[in-house]
Amino acid sequence: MKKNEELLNRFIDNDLNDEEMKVLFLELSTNEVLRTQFRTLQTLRDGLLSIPSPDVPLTLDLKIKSLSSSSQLRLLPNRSVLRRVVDKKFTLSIPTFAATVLLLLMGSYIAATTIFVQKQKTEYVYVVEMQPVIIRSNYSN
Amino acid sequence: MPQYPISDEQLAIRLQNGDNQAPTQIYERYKQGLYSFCYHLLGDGNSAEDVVHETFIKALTGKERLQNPASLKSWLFTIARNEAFAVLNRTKKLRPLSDTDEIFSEDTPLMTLETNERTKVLETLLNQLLPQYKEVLLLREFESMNYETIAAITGTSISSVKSKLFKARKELMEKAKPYIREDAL
Repeated sequence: MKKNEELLNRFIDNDLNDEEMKVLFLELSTNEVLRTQFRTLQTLRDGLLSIPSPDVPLTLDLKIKSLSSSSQLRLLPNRSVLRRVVDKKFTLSIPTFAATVLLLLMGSYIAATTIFVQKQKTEYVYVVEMQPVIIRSNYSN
Repeated sequence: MPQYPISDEQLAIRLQNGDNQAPTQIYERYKQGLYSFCYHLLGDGNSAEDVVHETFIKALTGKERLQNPASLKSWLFTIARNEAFAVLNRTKKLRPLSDTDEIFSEDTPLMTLETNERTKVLETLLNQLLPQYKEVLLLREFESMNYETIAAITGTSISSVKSKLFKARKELMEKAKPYIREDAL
């Protein structure tokens, strides 16, 4: 019986060769149960094919058309990564969270000690002691 | 099968060569099929929209991974199928959806229902199938794909596709039994 049902399915899909087709039709001519099954299968198939295609939302049209510009395409991998993070609802394991915090702390320490602190400048002031210069003059008022 | 002035192969080559028009042309060609496939597989329009969007992002950013340009359609459906199953796994929707019993009485023969009601019943019955069965049925009935292409998309063998199609139809027939009276056939 299962063999006949399989043949019936493959007949629906146009997958039978001539020999198999003969076997199936012979069986159909004598087997009422198989005939009923065949009609049920056809009815279901017709029903499935009569289901109207869902309308593609306009928002999807807009999204895809905006993808076509090359400037956006360059950003796509990042958007995809971001989307995966959003989809996971920001769930982070404890080790990942700890490593992230540690990295942030180290980063801020390095930034504080290298970028934000001005380099010390050494200025040299030379103090030279000079003897007073005495100017004598022969002229008088 | 619709005839296009440019073949899939030519379109895929244009995409890979950086033709700016190619993404829109590919989208216009396959948006309906992809959206319909995802819509029925996921049973939800919003998720289907997200999956098709993600499919095109992946296709455009990974266009160099398409090794055989002639298989553009099955490549797109493979991406969409994998994305849809990722959503199903994430949302734990891998179980069959709601029952039809509450919608119509079991005495109502399928073909005597109004078209809208019949569509509703059939969509609900379809939603009750396991996604692994539903995907092969959708690709075969709605996209008229052959066993080989379906096997490539679902990552299984041809015999597995035949077996899944057989089981999908059998299960659908079982579920539809209350709606199909023999005298209505």
